[in-house]
Amino acid sequence: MSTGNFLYGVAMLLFLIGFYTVLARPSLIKKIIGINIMETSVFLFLISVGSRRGGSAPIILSGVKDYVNPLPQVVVLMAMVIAVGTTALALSMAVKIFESSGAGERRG
Amino acid sequence: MKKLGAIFLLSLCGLFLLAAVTSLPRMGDPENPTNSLVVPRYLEKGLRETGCRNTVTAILLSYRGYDTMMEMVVLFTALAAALAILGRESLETCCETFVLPSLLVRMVVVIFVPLFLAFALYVITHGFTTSGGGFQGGVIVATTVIIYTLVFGLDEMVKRISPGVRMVLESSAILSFMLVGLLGIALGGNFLITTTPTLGLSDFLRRAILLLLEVSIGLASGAVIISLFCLLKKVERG
Amino acid sequence: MEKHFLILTVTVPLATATLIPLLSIRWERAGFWLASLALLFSFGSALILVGGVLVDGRIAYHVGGWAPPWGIEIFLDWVGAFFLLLASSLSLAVAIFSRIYVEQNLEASKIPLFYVLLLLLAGGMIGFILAGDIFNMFIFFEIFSLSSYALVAISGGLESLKASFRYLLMGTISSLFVLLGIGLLYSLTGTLYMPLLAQELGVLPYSGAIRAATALILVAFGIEAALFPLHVWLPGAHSLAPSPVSALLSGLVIKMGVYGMIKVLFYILGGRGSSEIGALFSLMAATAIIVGALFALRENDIKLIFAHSSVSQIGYVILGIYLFSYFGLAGGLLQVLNHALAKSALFLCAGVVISQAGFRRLEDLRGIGRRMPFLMVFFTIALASLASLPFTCGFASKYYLCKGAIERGEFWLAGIVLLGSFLTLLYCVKIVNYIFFATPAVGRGGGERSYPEVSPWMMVPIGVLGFGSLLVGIFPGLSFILIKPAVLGLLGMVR
Repeated sequence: MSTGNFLYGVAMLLFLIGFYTVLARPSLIKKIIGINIMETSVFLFLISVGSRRGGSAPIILSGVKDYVNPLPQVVVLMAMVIAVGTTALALSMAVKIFESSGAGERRG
Repeated sequence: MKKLGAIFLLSLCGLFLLAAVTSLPRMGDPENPTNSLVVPRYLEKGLRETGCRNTVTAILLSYRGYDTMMEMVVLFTALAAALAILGRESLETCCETFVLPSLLVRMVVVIFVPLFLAFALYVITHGFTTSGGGFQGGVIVATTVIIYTLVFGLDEMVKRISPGVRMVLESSAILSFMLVGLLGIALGGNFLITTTPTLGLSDFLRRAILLLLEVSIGLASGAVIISLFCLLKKVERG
Repeated sequence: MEKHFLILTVTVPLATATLIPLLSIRWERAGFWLASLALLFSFGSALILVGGVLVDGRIAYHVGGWAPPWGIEIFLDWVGAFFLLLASSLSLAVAIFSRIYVEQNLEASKIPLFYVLLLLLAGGMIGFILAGDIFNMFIFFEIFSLSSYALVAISGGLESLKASFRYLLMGTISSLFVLLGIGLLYSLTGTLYMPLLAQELGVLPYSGAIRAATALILVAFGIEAALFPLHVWLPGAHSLAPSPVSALLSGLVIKMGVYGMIKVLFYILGGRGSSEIGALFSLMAATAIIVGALFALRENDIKLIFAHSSVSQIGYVILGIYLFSYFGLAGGLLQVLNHALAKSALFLCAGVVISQAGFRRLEDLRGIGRRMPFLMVFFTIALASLASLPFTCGFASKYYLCKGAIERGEFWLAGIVLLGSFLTLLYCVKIVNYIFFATPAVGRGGGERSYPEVSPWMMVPIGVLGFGSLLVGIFPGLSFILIKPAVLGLLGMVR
């Protein structure tokens, strides 16, 4: 494994941590947190895919030659908005489940 | 038992991912296909073709404008979904027993809220030239309103930004994309072609259209996040 | 002008969805009328587009005038046309059916939201079918998934909320798998545009990264399609959702998982690695056929029977696709059509029974066939098609699947198909027996139960679906106008 892909490995590790949280934790809120960890890890991966050694932010200025890849940034921006939507929906479901099943029972 | 199953699944998944990571091209190499195949066009011609110095904004609003429109649909869907589950926010305010925090906190918020909003406006309108854009600005607007709500209470906020106003703002982005898109068809080109130079619209008009899209994205994403916050806050209050 | 329908068929339902909350403040029925009109528009433009495909074979549209791979292309070919026609017609039928059902079964404040979500679901699926860019496809995947989670839970019961939350968790994991897979593919090729992606992948060695991306995306769409060990969310979600929603979920949404698999296997991978993938997935599909049918036999709740039966029936579709041969694919696509028509008709009928009579257990349905004769005739037609009796669409699809399996020398798969059909026949006969031949249930007062008249708003969509199922069964050549070139096109992509 080339050392350059270290960051990819970190992203994948985070992905697995999030996945474990979703699978093994009984609490609904922790499951939602797990999903957020997974989302963030995918963002980290996508952003690092778009990197370029020595590149600067993709804002066109005279005198700068190398820019990082803007497309993954766009993809991440959109995926983030989707993540916000999913989290909000999951939270509202969790809240409603707590409400209907009584505050004491926070597992499902 | 459940944990054992989870660990089994994870190790399976981990093996696949490890195999993937080791065989990916080296990160950050200028020779990578990610840096050489499609992207050069955006970086070389983006400024000329769309008039946006910020390539991210150029891709977001022009090259992949369809994706951005659909993303606003995703936000709208999330809101509609949350409403369907938690029940509609009533259009009137209701009385609430709320303890105002100390004078110091209130003063700080009163002073900083306009500044935050001005900053949000700057981020939205200057997304073309520097980092920033509709979503980012919209989120700043939403955060500001949430800070205000936490200090002054939900009713104070609803008095200023009523659910009715928010409802119009929430659909504004999708509708303005639709409008701009249909304008493109009416002018004889493809959907959303109004943002490209091929149609021969003046630069000023194209900038105005992009600004309209950017501002409506900002307002819509802000309004959706505020509404989601209100929905969850209302439930918490019971 | 015709090409613009390609984009309008997606954007009109979605934009209409945003108008409904604004208009329904003043106009109570805005939801129903706007949704029906928008879906009627989508259906009309789908017909025009299919006409275009019949002439040209593939129509493409560059959104914003930017040529791909820089801009986004949406396109329609034979496979897409088949799914598009199915999606737009079925969602229109469900929208019309919902008018009475929703008024009887949902709180008044949730009715506009129901139509908003229905439009988003339909528009999302249509956009998913048309997407030519893999990330665009992901966004539409999210649109229709999010709206289907909410539609499952819209009635607000605790059980349906829990089922919906489980669906959401599995659905979100599946969408993250897709996103990670897309990221891997992007880092290998540098593009998101499917044809270019396929071309660039074709020259790369079949490395661990391609294998991982394939596995991630196929498993993700397997979750969405409710393929056997990944189906755990389905029985709860499909049986507890309001019936029109169940009809759409079972009839269409799980097919989108299948469509996603087709896109990845043929459009992106070009049939690469088909032997190892095919062996694993046909094993899963075969298990699904048997296990789903066994669970359906055991159940007593009519909607749960249909939900388990969906697991079994989707197994046939997936089996057909992973045979990678003409007969297998044709049988799979025919099964998509058969299951979409029959299962949504069945769920809509179940909806009428549950809403008019108020019960869902088989014992309570005794003798209902004599009370609601017309409804139950269509119900029986749909059941016959599900059980693949001769002269139904189901028969043709299973015939092709068997032929495909035998052609490949996999006799045990043909045996599984036959065994599965036999088990399906068993639970269908069980239901028919309860409906027509058991002594009628006795009401609380001691006399026979009486049932109110079924409204034409409910009857017509069911009738159209049942009639369509019959028509396709008697003249299978009709569906082959689209299926034959679709399958040949898919096989042409295999390298």
